[in-house]
Order: sequence, then C-alpha cells, then structure tokens
Amino acid sequence: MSIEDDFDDEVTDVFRKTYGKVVGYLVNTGTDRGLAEEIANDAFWAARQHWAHVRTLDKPEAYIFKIAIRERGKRQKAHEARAEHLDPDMPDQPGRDPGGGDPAGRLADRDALIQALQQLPLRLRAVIALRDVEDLSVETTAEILGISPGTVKSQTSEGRQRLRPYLAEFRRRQPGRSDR
Amino acid sequence: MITNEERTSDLAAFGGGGLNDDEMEQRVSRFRDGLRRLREDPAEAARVAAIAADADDTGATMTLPGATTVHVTGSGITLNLAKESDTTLAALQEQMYERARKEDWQKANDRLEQERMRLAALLQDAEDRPRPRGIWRLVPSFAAVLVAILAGASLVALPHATTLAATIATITLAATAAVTALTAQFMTWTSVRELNRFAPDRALALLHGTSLNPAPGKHTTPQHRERIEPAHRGADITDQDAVQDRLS
Repeated sequence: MSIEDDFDDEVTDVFRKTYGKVVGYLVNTGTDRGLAEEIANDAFWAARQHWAHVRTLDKPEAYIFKIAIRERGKRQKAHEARAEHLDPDMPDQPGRDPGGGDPAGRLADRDALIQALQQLPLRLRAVIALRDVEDLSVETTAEILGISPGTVKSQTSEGRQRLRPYLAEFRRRQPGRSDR
Repeated sequence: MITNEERTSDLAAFGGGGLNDDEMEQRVSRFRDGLRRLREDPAEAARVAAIAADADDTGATMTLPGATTVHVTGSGITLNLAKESDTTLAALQEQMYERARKEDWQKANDRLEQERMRLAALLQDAEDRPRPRGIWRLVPSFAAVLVAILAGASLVALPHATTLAATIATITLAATAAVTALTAQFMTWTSVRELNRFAPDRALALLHGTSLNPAPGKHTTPQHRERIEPAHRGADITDQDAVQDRLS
C-alpha cells in the first residue's frame, strides 16, 4: 500500500466523521443543501490534495471547515443568481433538499430552526451552529472562526440567551419534544 | 428549561447534516470516486487544490499529475513523492524555489518599504521644523565687512588718538571680530540645513538601492538578477547622481 493510499484512507476517515457537520453547518447558516454538499465535497478533496500538510495539524477538521466557509463566501452569490435565473418564481430556500431525502416534517423542523438562527447576528449564528448544532468543542470552534476560546464561550452564552424565546415557540408547536 | 451552559436538545437534533447511515455511505462512495477521478485529471486536481490555498498561513502546497503532493513551509521544503521522473522533479523543484523566492523577496521588500516610509516621515518632520532663514545668512558677511572697516579705521586713527580712544577702538574691534566669529559658527546650522534638505532624497535612494539588491547567491539566479537589476539599480544610480549633483 502506497503513501497515497494511506492518505486516501485517512481523509476518508475524517470525511466520515466530519462531512455531515460541515454540510449541517453550511445548511443551518443559510446555504442551499445542494450547494452545501458541493462545497463540502470540494473542501475534502482540496484537503486531500494538501493532506501531507493537513494531517500534521492539531485539528484537521477545523482546516476543512475553514476551506468550506471561505468557499461558501465565494460561491453563494453566484449560486443564488443562477438559481434565480433558472426559476425566478421559486427562490432558493436554505436547507431545501433537492433530492427530497428529508421527510417533510423533518424538513419543516429544520426550516424552523434555520429561521430561529436567522434571528441571531451572524457571529452568534456561526458560534451556535458549530457549538450547539454540530457539537464541536470550544477550541475547534475558535480555530474555525479565528476567535479566542473565551469569545466562543461568551458568544455561545449570548446566542443561547437570544435563542431562548424562539426555541420556546419552536417547542410549543411540537408538544412531543422536551427540554433537557 | 434551557440553561445557558448546556447545549439544547432542539438544536442538537439537527446536527450532522441530517444524514442517515445509508446516505452517509453514498457520500463516502462518491468521495472515493472523486479521489480516483482527481488522480486521472490533473486540471481538476489543480482546481481543487487551489480551493485550499491560503486556508492557513503555515505553508503552501502544490500538486502535480499523479496526485503527488509537495508541501512547502517557510523556507524549508518537504517533498512527498510517489513516482516522478527526473524531469518532472526538476521542474517541480524549480517551481517551489521560485515560489519561496518570490515570498521571501516580497516580505523583505514589504519590510523595507515600511521602514522607508517611516524614515521619510521622520525626515519630512525634521524638514518642516522652523530654522533661521533669509537675511540671517548675510550676517557673517556683513560682520566681516564691518570688522575690516573698523580695523582699517583703527590703523589710520590710532597713531593720532589718545590712550583712552585707542583702548575703546581696540575693544570695539575685538568685540566686532568676536561677534563675526560667532555668527560664522551659527552658519554651520545653515550648512546642516542645506544637507538636511537633500538628506531625504539621498537616504531614500540609498534605501532603495539596498532593498533591490538581493544578497548574491541566496534565492537568486543569474537570470533573476538580470531581470531585476537593470530596471531598479539603474534608477538608483540615476537618483544618487542627481543627489550628488544637488549636494555639489
């Protein structure tokens, strides 16, 4: 087995653990699901091309997140313009699954979650999406967003505080759910 | 009740991109297919590799056909090679050296440019300070003429003057000569001022010459020096000559 095959296996392991988080983060912060998966794939392929370097980092997943977030910034506007051009009567909805894989109820829940997150300022939305939705550590979140762990903690606390009324409304509409 | 210290179950339910195991396996399979495709398509591999450029500042990486990865950190170069011909390797090394050279070159020039701007600001500030100007420059000449007149008059008058008058004339002459000498000393200031007037140009010319003269043999090739030096060093020489002309 060559070093290239070893690298492929290592990247695939990280892919299994992190791909869903990257896609989830992008979708929950307002990116169309199809675009989010496209960006996440490119981010992992790009990381593979640089794997000799990336594998030496403390948090390879943070590196991949950073690639994906930056790439989202580049592609989002072009993607929205293209979608509007193709079907001007149906604007691209964040989180919409083009393949229809999500059950309708789950999709509605996710849309509600996204709407709740949209009420937060961008910095708080990013922190909450990484910390509370994708369950990343304070350190990894800080690495991805390029801020200090202390800032992550304070912004997480502030974001939870601000989300509280929206989540209460969210739970009120779904009586089967319970608070932790 | 939600507390600020714990992750909410509502939010956690939407983590992981909402993919079940089967969906995840599909993505993994597609990812592996993509890896194989990248090995066979150098153009696509280069496009994808470029996506990660500048993701952090710790190094730079290049990928050649065959999915060979080359990583550069700072001035050190690490090569991870699977199979490359000598020709490809030589071309690769040349590209990596070129990149490292450009980065070092750019950083050094940036630092010198900052220093040049700082120095220019300091010199400009010094230049703007008020100093003696105008008629002040004529004082030594006027005093010298006065001393000469007084000395001549004294020589003519002293043989016929009383002791008291001779003493007064001598003291006056000595005082005038002393004042003349002092004002001549002050004129050194005006000389410094003249130098300062040209100093910024000279300092900038010297700095410019330093910044654009690479250390011989370090990250440079004869071709590189040929490319850089005629354009910039020629300009330095011209600037320095102009400064010399102004100073002389």
